Amino acid sequence: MRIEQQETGSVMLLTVMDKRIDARVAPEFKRFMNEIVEGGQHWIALDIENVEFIDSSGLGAIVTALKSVGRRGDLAISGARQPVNDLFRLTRMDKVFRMFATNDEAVAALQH
Amino acid sequence: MTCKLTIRYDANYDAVRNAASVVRQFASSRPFSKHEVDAIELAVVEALNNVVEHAYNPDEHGTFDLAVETDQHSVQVEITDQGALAPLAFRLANARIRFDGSDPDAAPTGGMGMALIRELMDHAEYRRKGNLNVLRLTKFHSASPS
Repeated sequence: MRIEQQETGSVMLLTVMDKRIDARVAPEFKRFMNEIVEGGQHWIALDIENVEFIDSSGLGAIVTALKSVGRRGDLAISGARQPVNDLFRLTRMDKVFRMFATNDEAVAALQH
Repeated sequence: MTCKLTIRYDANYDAVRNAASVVRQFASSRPFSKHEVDAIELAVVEALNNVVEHAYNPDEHGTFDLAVETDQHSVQVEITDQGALAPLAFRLANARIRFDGSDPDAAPTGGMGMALIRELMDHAEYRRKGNLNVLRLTKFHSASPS
């Protein structure tokens, strides 16, 4: 799985380069996010504009990352496409995550 | 006109991706909207993930059969495996997304697959046939009666 990292002020922007976050890559994604959070990054913008498909395992991995951040910061989503937006809405996760159309909006909202 | 395709796969996540691609192509060739094709793909992936995760022991070589059939009004996807009696499938009838989003701490990190299948498809029916688990999913074209 390929995820690009970019620090922008106090925010870590993570851009998922894969087209799918599914059960095949969910364990690897969880491990990666855990390393990021335990490494001290607690304000995270997750750019999923390249992602065409997320299943419940992938979604669960993203929720796990948010929970590991906890009260120390926030994890926001940017660039979600229609099918991914549909999944977030269907599972009510659109009420759990702050979701933004662009990376700039997400990063600006997370700066502190 | 009715069209049917059946493929056997090894039960692993690479095969789930391949099967999802086949189902997507099949559904896209019928008068489904992109939104409906997305829903069918996700439901099928959730069902196949369930087979990979739960049907076979980790050291057991398992397979699943994917049968995709379309007719004038719908697409039917039948997933068959030779694994253990599927306990999760019994919960299909009562599966619901109960999380309402009001308490982020209560957001589930798993266990959403069956509820998604029910939400995304028009019909979802599990049955035990001999030593086989058979899950049949149906989606009607939006213009067709369900």
